[in-house]
Amino acid sequence: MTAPEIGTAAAPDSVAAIDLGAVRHNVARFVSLAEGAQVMTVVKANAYGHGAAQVARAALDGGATWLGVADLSEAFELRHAGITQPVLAWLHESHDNFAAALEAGIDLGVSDLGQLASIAQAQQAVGGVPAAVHLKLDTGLGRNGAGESQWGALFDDARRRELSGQLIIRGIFSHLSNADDDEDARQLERLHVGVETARQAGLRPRLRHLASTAAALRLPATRLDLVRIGIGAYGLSPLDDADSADLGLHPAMTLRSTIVAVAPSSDADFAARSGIVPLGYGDGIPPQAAGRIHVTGSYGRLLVTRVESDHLVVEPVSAGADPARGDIVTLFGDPTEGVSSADDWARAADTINYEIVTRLGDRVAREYIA
Amino acid sequence: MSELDDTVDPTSLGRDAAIDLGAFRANVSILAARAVGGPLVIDMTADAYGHGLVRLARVAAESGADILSVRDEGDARSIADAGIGIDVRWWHTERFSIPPAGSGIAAFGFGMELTDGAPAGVVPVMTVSAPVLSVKRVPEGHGVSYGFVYRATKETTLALVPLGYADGIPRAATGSGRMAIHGRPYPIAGRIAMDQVVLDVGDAPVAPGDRAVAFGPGLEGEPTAAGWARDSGSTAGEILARIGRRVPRRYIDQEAAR
Repeated sequence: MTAPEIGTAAAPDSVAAIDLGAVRHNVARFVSLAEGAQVMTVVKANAYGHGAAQVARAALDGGATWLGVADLSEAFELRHAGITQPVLAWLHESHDNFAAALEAGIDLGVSDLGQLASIAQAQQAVGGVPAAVHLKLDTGLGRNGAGESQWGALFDDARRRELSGQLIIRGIFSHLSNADDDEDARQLERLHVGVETARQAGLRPRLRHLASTAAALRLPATRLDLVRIGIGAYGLSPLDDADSADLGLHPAMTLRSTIVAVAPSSDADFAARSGIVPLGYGDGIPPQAAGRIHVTGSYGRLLVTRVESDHLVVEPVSAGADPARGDIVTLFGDPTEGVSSADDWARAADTINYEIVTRLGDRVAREYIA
Repeated sequence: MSELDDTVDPTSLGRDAAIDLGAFRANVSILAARAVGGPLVIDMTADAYGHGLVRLARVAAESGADILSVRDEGDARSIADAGIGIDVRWWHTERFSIPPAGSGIAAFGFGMELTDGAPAGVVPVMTVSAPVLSVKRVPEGHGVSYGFVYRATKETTLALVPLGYADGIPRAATGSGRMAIHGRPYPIAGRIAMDQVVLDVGDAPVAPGDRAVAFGPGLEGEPTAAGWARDSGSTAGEILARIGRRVPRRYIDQEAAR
């Protein structure tokens, strides 16, 4: 192989531009769609790779009243960033750091009696107001959440702890499988049964929540008191039969990089040059997409032919469109602007748009557009 | 140099990537012994394939590596700032051709041919694990995770493990990926989600707090990164490099402990 021409730039230039206006727009769209139900924006996994604190603030500006995360470390990150609005975290070890959670005013999603006992113990140690708990019911997904046979015992224990001032049950929630409408309807019915059983035990949960983006869009009956919006807040579609534009959503992330070196192409059809882009699978670019996805430069489209650990190789698809050192290329963004979308990358890599944006690594700088 | 870590960081749900510096040292020594007549170049791109650049650069320099190939000038500066004296090359280094070929990822325990073919004696350096958060007994036919692509074929126990594709577990391994508990591998039931997977552990006496090992050296029943690569149409290098920020790296030295 011939050595490439060497670039003169001091450092490779890759940026994930996050359009916070798009986040505000998307969240506002769900606020309007939800017709009175509150909107919780889900910012777990560093806001699906977009940056948790920045997205959280934009989501609140867009009308969200709640933020949702998986684990407590993610909740603490929001508090450390100075965000004081309600936060719910729902994935815990049985003896997680609940005392710190209560001091930080985090609402806790709880799946079993052991967690309730740990939280009650933490509340007594910390003192102050009762712990705010959302009981999570497994209505069919088979992940966390209390199984139906446990509901009675869980509600009775929760009520006993309410009466002794240790906690209050602010919500009851579950998560859909999105297997099909019948399954989702069955899960909704089980949640209603659960809430009724809880009421009979004396609980008065103010927030019943079930729907995430897909159900919030498609199944109005699942919206209840609050919808949990993750992927939709980032402007991406969870549905197979509708894209962002169909749903009136704006993709928030645009991933750009720079051609840092050029080399003779391996393709002998025309005297082309291939370009080196300093983003690789170590940054979260899926190698499975090679040969099946384009990036866009000012002069046209370039085929991604190879993805290595810290770079990828692009080649022109037509004569006269050679990449040049210093050219800016867009890997994905809003497809209405003529670039590949996260959906395109997902199709090319046989996965879903969630994974494309979420796995983008920390070494790619995020740049926020207010 | 900072000390080794005995205990798992509790702040990230007990997710853990244990990096065995002794194994890495031994691997580099094996490669150095084989690299007669030429410099030993170790590929340290992608944050040393997710292992942590500076910690491993020091061990590599002490164990017979001649040149480290890194991503960029920033990587080179990190190594120099840590006081590690070794020749470092990257994209903009004069006459350094694409790709920085030849080293493969044998130093991390895997072969040049992606899923196999590591030189004799090298062993995987990284072990990724997390505790079981909860277990649940479900009846035959119970669906698990999105789309219910998995249903229990008999009454069984499901164990929830907080490792998902945001942590680098490839979603493409849905239907084939496994994790081991007490040395026995169990299938992942249903779709791999962003933050979690569910293991079908049958009638095994698995309890919350038991550790589920996603991959490791493969010597005690656990899968390897090469196995995950086969299960997801990927490479061992990608599996290692994509382990995410929610999985704290912890440095151990099994050799020194012996």
